[in-house]
Amino acid sequence: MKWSKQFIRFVIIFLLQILLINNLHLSGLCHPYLYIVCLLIMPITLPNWAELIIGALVGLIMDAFCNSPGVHMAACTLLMLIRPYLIGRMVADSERLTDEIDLSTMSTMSFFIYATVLIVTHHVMVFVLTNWFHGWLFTIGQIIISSAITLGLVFGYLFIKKK
Amino acid sequence: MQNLLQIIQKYSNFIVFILLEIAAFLLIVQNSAYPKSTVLSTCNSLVAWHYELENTIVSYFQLKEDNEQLQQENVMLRNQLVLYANERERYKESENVYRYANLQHHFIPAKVIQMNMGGMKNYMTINKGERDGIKEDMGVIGPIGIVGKVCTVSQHFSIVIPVTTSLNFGVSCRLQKNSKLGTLSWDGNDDKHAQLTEVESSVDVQPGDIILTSGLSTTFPENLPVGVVEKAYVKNGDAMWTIDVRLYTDFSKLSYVQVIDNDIANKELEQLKSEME
Repeated sequence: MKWSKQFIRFVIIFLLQILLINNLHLSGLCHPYLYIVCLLIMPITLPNWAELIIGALVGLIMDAFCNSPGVHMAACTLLMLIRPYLIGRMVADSERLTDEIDLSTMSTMSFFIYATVLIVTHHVMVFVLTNWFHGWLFTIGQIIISSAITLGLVFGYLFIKKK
Repeated sequence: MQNLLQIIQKYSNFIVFILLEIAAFLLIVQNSAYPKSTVLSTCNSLVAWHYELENTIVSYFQLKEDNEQLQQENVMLRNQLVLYANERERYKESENVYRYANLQHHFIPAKVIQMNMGGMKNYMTINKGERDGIKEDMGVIGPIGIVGKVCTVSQHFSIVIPVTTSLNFGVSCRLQKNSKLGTLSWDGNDDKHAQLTEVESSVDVQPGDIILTSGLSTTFPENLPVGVVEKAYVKNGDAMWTIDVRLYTDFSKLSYVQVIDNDIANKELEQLKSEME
């Protein structure tokens, strides 16, 4: 039941990402990736290897829609590798954390740090791999602006969910 | 043995991670130039179906612009028609020339269902594929100017790389007034402008000069409109012009394109080559 809910949410957020966010051609610098919120708030009840595989699959699906085979897969796998360590750092009794990770299970400040680290990691991977190291300034600009907007969207999503 | 098993168990997460990352990087390297895979790209029919659905809704908001573009194209074609009708009258005896010229290329209409522009690697997906006779490396033109070429083809969909891409596939172009040749490339700044390179600085180039395809490559036939020279300057100590070209094609408004089927031209070219040998 819990996982079917996760799956439905995954589909909805993905549709939002593909149909709406990917079409916002505000500027070349602004490419927010809200879909990783599914990975951010996933419960940590699964073994780590399963989480890694889920991350890779989610990345692959995104890749198919973005014409970038491998890029999002690499980024999401890395994100899922750091995630458990970060939760261990942020939450004192992480063993008892069996529910979703959001503002009700984590304080706003520690969730902010948790989300920022993961989003920046993901975005650095994605933009460095897509631009293949040419245009450093452009890449750095993309990372900063897109991460900030993704972070805003993630918090927006969480506040809507809370209500 | 037991030690080894213990080590594997201890680092199992890390091993899974490394394997997945290797798989991802293999995919990246394999598809680094353009998405070669038809499964992991927008010409995957499930993915493309999604975009097509989105497009059927969004396209209604573009109807006005689409109509204006088509009208513009109609006017252009009609003007050409008048011109050619007169020409034809003059060369009535050599009717065969026209018949031959018309046979070389034909056009396949298609609709753009997805586009990502604004980055270094730009692509668009069109709703025609192998079943409609589309093959890799075919040229694509819009209502007014050239658009790009086909890079990946699946059953029903294909991916097009526009001329404004970091891949720089180099369209051979010429200046309309003096037929001097050059190659179109892109500096990565914006998708309204491209750069014409390899034009010697002794050639007369002025802003406002019209640039057409040269027909030297089989991707595009001769005399298709490309763009207008916006700015031309010679860098210090350079023997070539640096020419900024404003492209006729506005990628933000592009929705209908035509794919140029150059099969006959290619076959004839190959035949000629084999005859030469």
